[in-house]
Amino acid sequence: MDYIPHITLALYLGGLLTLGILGLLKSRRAKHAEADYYLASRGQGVLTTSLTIMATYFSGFAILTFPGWVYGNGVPPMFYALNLPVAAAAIYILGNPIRRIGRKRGYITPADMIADYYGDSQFIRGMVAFLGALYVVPYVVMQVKAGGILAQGLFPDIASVTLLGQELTMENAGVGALSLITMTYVIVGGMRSVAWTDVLQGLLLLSAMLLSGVVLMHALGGPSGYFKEVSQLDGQLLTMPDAPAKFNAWHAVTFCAFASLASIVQPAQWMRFYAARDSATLRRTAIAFSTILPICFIFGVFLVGLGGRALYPMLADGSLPVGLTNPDQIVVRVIQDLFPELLGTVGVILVSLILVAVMAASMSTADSNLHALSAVATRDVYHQLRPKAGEKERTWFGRAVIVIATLAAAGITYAGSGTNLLNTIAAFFFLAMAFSAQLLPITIDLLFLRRGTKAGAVAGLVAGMIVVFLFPPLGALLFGEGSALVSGTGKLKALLDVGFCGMVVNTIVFVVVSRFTTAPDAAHREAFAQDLRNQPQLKADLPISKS
Amino acid sequence: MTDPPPDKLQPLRIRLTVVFLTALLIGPGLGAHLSGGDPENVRFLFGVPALYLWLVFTCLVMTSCILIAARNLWRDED
Repeated sequence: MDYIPHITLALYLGGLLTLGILGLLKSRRAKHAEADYYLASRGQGVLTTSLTIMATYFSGFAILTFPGWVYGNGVPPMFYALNLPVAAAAIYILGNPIRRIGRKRGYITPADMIADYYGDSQFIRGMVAFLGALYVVPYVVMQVKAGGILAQGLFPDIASVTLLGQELTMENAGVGALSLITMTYVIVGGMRSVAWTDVLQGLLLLSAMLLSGVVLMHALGGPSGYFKEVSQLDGQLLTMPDAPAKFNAWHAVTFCAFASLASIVQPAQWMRFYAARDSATLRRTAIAFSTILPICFIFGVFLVGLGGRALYPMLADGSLPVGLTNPDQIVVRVIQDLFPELLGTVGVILVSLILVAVMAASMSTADSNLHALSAVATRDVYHQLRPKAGEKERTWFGRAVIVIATLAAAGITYAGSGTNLLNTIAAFFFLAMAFSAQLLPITIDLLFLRRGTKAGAVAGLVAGMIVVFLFPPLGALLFGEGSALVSGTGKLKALLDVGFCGMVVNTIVFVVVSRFTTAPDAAHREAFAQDLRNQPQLKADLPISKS
Repeated sequence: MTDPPPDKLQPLRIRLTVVFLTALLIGPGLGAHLSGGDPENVRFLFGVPALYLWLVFTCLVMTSCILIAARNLWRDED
């Protein structure tokens, strides 16, 4: 049975490469190289769109961090799952107008649309691209690193491997292998390969999330046995804490309302809206997102976190039990202990599958962000510096960006944890969603209000970003751990989501500056509004949809 | 059969928005505090922690809003 993890991993990685090659073959028939490479010729159907949006939305966070929070803090962190219906609504309400105007005007990146509306300003394009990079770069590095750690978890008995005379730890070998495979399929097939592999990765992830909960419940004697064990837990774990304790109601509400929207307007997701075939695709994606994901969380991994606490109670001094060095390991620990004992060989196969699914969660986030980074660097930087570059040249430049970014991410990870660079990137990673949230005020303005000005948008973005920089862990890096400012923002962070705090300042500055500066001219705004509107046809008049 | 004109859908749009936002605010807030009880006196319903059931209920309400909107308000246009 020792060979099962090897076979599972080989099948999974082989599957990814096959999908990458299929993506390449299909893209050969494309008329527009750039739109095909970055947006799969704007023709993605429901299955691909829904699973790629879900897989991109969740990194290893879904199956490691979230259940770890539940293990450590009980039911209260589960309320953070209410961000899922908010994100689902945003997929249609924000995503559909973005898709519609993106198709009409040929946008590829978020900055294409924002800069177009606010007067084709290079500065605002640069700002939006910078914000996008602040989101995607730390995500790529941290997911590559997570992939390495998971490879180590999959093969715990292999201490090191020798490659070209160089002895590598399993973690570093994992980082190298996963980076190479991810880079290959992103380069060859672009969005199509990324989305198709996301389908495989998303299916694995969702099945693993649900399956782990179901099997744990079965192991504890069904729902009644499970909840009998859970009812013995400390009352603190089964009731809502008061602010400013961790996972208090204020933080939960601001997180659910704004962090979810921040994840929906980040570059990789925004580009998925452009890539969707039609409005029906996004409508059905919103339905799938709002139903499937909450089920997988609430009846899946959350139950593992809570049941795990009953099975592996913390010690009297609050430290973790033997065999658990981090609460994030609870799902892996539960499945590794219970599945083989309960299900024999099938259990061993399931353990391997779930560990591969955890790896898939990291890879699906890394590939989407790598691809989005390539688009941002190409469209928002290279194309602006070299306007004469043709579509093919830009696409090749984008591929070079993917190679450089992957090698850099793997190099930083290889250099080892504890280095200043990796610590700084980790600090940016923890605030990535807060940075992305700063795009919300201008997104809402250009989609629904169209009252803001270029100066207002720039001032709002700058103000929002500065606020985010003041919060720990970035604030602590800039001003020192003990500074009064960081202590103040640290207290505020316990109460409210950081992105929300930045967004409040951003919105106020945006509104005030817009009040005193000149808006884009009326004809431009009207034309933009016209392209956003697109009068809906009556259902009876519509042709039968292919999807 | 044709869809009703957009202005007839406005009351539904408003109702769904109000219910969705109320669930988002009350779910982790007041409702969670009231339903869960306090650490010394945890509430259970059919042996299940009431706080967990409250989460399931809140999520169900929000998801239902989306399903109703997807069925009645969000129309396919291409």
